[in-house]
Amino acid sequence: MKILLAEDDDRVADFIVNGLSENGHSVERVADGCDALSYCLYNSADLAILDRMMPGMDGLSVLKALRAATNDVPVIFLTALGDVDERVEGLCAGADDYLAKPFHFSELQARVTALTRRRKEMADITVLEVHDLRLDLLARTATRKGQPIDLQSKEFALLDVLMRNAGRVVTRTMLLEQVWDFNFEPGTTVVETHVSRLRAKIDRPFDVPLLHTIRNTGYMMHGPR
Amino acid sequence: MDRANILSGAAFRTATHAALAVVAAFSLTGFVSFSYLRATLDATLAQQVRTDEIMLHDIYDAGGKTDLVQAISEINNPLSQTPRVIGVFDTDGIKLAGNIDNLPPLGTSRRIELTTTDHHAKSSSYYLNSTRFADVTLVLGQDLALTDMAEKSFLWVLLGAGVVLTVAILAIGYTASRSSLVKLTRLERTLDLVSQGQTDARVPVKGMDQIDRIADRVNAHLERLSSLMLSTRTTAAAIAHDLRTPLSRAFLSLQEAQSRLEKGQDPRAAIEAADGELTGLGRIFDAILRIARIGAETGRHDFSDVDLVPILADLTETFAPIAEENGQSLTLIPGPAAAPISGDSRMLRQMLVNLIQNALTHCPKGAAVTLAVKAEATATSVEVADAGLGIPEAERARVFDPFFRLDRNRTTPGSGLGLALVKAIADRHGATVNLSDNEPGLKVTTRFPGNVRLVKNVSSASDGGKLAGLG
Repeated sequence: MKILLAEDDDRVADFIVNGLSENGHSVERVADGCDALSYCLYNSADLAILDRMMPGMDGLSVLKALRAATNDVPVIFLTALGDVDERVEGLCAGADDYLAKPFHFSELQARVTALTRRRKEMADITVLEVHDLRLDLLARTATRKGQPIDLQSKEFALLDVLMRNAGRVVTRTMLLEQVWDFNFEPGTTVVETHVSRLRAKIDRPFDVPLLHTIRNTGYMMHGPR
Repeated sequence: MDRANILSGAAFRTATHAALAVVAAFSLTGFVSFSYLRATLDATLAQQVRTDEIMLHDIYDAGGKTDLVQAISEINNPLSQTPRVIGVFDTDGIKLAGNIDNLPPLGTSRRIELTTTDHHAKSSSYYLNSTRFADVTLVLGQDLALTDMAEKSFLWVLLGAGVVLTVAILAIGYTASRSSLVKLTRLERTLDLVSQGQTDARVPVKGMDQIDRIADRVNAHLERLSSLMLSTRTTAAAIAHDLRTPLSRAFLSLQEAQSRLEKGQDPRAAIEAADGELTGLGRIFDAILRIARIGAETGRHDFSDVDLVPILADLTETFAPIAEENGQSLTLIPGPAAAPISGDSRMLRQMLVNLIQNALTHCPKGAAVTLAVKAEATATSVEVADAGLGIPEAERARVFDPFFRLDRNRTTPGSGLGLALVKAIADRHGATVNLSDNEPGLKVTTRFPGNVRLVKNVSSASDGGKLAGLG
């Protein structure tokens, strides 16, 4: 996949370029906003990662210009820590996801993967299935091996996000944002506690575990391999 | 005191303008009064002359020229005290009697210089009237000396009053300007002192004039400024202190990882420890930046209608399992069906999360935490109450300070920024946060004023659907 990275700090950029390249992506890096805009307009990137603060033209302006030119390349917006409003601003301006610096590379990796597949899967899905687990989004019911599983609404939302991203890592932060709408890190074990409760309902009574913990990163739903 | 500074002061300049106006007004009124005075005096003289003339005319009518000359010679005797001009001339202009030698022109003259020939022999200005009878010409005149003196005195009085008034006005202006300048100099000196670092310097205020009011305001601003500076200094010191611990732990872990690598051991645990410390540091930074941002923002342009009831229900569902794991309980007390306020939903969510987590973290096992939303007549309030150890009354005001932690909580996890963030978010929403004794435990009440809408109370809905809130 072809990814544009617009980031003015060389060391941060090197880490990201190396990491993404190792995962099989081809990465084009630019160091200022004007270059980022012209690259996106004249080349076809599959994904753009834009830093908020850049010389020449800031990330938000690049994003707005892209969307104004009806360019709908998926965009991940990088913001500085604590810039609560800029995240919202970024999403409003048409970013598909945002990430606060500093971040772990695995966090970025998970979001890149989620974003490149999200579009085609969004359309008209009413039932999610992983192995023998079935989630009916319209009836709001979960069954495994035909047995109904009683879920609370947060557990349902959690399972929805995990199953939508089946086969891909979903990080703690992504879960906090998508399930709880928290754009901050709660000091307590919100995610861990709810995942363990969910696991007790969907995995423990059955022989094959479906909800896996990815060490230091997050969680992944997948069937037996 | 610099005289040029006083003379350029607003008060003195105003006084100068006032003085000029007074001089102009005095000149005008003086001119008018003077003209009036002169006209009155002239009329009096003319009246006297006319009276004499009528009398002498009667004599002439009765006895002719001879009697008139006789009468005039008598009037003009050496005993007469009245310094006046009187004379009678024949048709050729030859003097028959009187105290002047030459016949002045006929008619009335305002001012003629004459020297009388009688014992007074007085040279003066006279008001003269010459009238021709059948065969004589009668000349009568009144001395203008008295009139002149009256006019002169009037002018002097007018001038004197004008000068005194002008000088008085200028003096008042000078004094006022001087006292303003003294106050301004004090103001200037105080600001100088503050800018030189003496932040406790204040402007002495004695009166209630405009400058004193400004001085009051300046003092209020200085008060706020120095308290801000103080809190910035304390916060900076606290930040430095609180960041040093995780930073040095991260350093140590990385060094350990390095030495483990050198010894051929697995360094991952040490790296993870460093990662954990740095993540914690990041969270502290995040909280500090959020507090600073929220504190710096003003206005409500990004606010929308937010219903607190579903947010609280959602958070109860989220945190009840955590409470359960801690052997505590978290319950939402049923209240109004909706509690809409104007605000930023993400900020409010974070505020409530911080309050709930604060209660869960600082309460012992078995403690019950309750949430309640109340629609009052003029406000919507959210209560987070626990049955934990509470906060001593003396410490309650300080728990909102960044990095403040109760001594007994030094060992529990937390940065001491949670309640500071709560306060910042509440302030941003114009809400008050009140800590009270829950007997036992702590009750935190956040009250959002003024934006209460029509709300149906769930508990009273059955008995007739009364309205708990106001429109």
